[in-house]
Amino acid sequence: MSRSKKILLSLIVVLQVVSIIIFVVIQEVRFSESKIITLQTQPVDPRDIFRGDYVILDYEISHLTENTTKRNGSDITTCCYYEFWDETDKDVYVFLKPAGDVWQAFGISSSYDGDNLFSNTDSNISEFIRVKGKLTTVDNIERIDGEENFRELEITYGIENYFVQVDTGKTIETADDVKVNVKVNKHGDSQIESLLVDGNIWP
Amino acid sequence: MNSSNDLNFLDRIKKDLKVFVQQGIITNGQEDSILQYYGVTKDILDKGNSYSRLIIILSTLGAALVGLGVVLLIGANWNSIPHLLKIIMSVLSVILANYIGYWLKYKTIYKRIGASIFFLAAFLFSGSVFLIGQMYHIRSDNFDILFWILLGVLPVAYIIDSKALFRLSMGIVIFWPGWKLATLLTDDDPQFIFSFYVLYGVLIYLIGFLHSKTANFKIFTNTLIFVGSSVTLAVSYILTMDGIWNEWESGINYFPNIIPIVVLTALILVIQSSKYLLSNFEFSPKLLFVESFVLSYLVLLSWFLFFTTKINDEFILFFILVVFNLIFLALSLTITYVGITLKRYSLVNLGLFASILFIFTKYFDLFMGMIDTGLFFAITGLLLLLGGVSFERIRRRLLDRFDLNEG
Repeated sequence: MSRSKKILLSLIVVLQVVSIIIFVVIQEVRFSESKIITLQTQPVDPRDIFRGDYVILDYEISHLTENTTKRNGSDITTCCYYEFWDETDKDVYVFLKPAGDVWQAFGISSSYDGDNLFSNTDSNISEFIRVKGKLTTVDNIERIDGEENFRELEITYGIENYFVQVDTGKTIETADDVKVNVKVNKHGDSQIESLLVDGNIWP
Repeated sequence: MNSSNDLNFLDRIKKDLKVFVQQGIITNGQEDSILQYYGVTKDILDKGNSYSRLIIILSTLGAALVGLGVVLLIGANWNSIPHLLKIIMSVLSVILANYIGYWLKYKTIYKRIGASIFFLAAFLFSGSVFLIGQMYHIRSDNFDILFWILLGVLPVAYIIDSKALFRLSMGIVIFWPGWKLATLLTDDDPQFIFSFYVLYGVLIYLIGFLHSKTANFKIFTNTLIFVGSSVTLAVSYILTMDGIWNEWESGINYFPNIIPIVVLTALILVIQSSKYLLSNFEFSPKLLFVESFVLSYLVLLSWFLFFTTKINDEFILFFILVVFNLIFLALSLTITYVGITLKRYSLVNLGLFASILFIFTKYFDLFMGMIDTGLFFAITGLLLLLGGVSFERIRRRLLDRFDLNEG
């Protein structure tokens, strides 16, 4: 092997190693200043052929429904204040507020500031946090009597997978209550911190 | 000389003699005489080649299994290993495997085992990337991770002249750009993806030819030409099915989707034109004409697909299907012809395989349900047997016409 090829090979191996380390550093730095919130979820247990067991986390905040009939009515406080969209695959910010021991969605916006979200909603929201997600589905549903229309939005956050020790996924799936502690940074990026299975940190 | 030096010397002699024959310095007979002088007979050479192939297959398979085993073992017990230890284990395994691969390939006589250990190193790097991703609960179908792996593995393939690593990288080379562009640019418009892959296949094919004109990288020529042709053939085959044309979207946003199509078209035109202009591209005028004709057709096809919207008229749809079926058959035969002319048996096999697949599937489409099931299968079985014999005879006859040693 020529000297130049030897240098190139060493360089590539160094880059392979450095890229792994940089990836770890980026992930750690991104969430060094973050707030931990708890989200309600429903787990499903699939298996990854290369990486053992993982649970798919189906969050409460992944499915948002609004009563579109009430949108233009006088009683606007009973309706969620979600922006109107027909197109999907769109980056959105979901605004959450504490509700008991978990956080729940009270609005969704395509802008970081939430635009008219805060002027329209009730003024009792003293604490909130925004989580960045992707709007994947928009479904318009009409009630059979035709009196009310609903709109269902589905959002993914990139925190839907949680890898666990092999053969332990089923235990989580069959638990009564599963919550997730999620780190959220000021940009709305989220990362799973830990899993709470029946009130205890997993494993 | 010790035994390892003997082996290295004989390896060198064999390689040099092959080049001398290719350049017309000596004849095949003189090559045999020289080899006999060193005690290397044709039988020994054939046996040696068979053993070489066996060693490559066994050691590569072994490396892949070891890599997979390590990744599975660590992945399954990932949560019980502390974060820092995971990172140290990943990093050390990558460095160690690369070092052992280098030492075996370049410092000992176990070159083929060394090449397989490099393969293992690539596996461990890929596994480390996925496992570190798992540490942060990043989804395994994240294609950006695949691109990261490609950046780490493909350069090693070029540096150590490893066909196995190169072929491993080709999987990512095929799927990553299409997926990325589909995510970035389109709302899942199938027209764009088909249009893109027709051109992308052509580009890979032409990059294969560029490789053939370099001293260091020509060992990858065959893989690239084969992969490029396969991609284009696969897309053309899907276009022969009526179901796919019903999936086309209407009201597409042409911008910015058109940018990659323009860029690929420009690249293809530049590379193909350079064959006419540069002196070291020595092609027969007939082959160059056929090739340019087919490439022009594929470029036009790509643009046609890009601008075509959903076809509702049944007559037009029927006409399009007939045309695309004929075109696929013509394309398969052209690839066979190019394979024969360029003396690349993998292309001959690909072209013939595509033709047989086409005839077989169209036979199923036409006759399934028209005749009694039992009779249908009996006739199909008979046709398959006859087809297999004819296919093998045609293939053998074609392959006998040229030397199977490919670059």
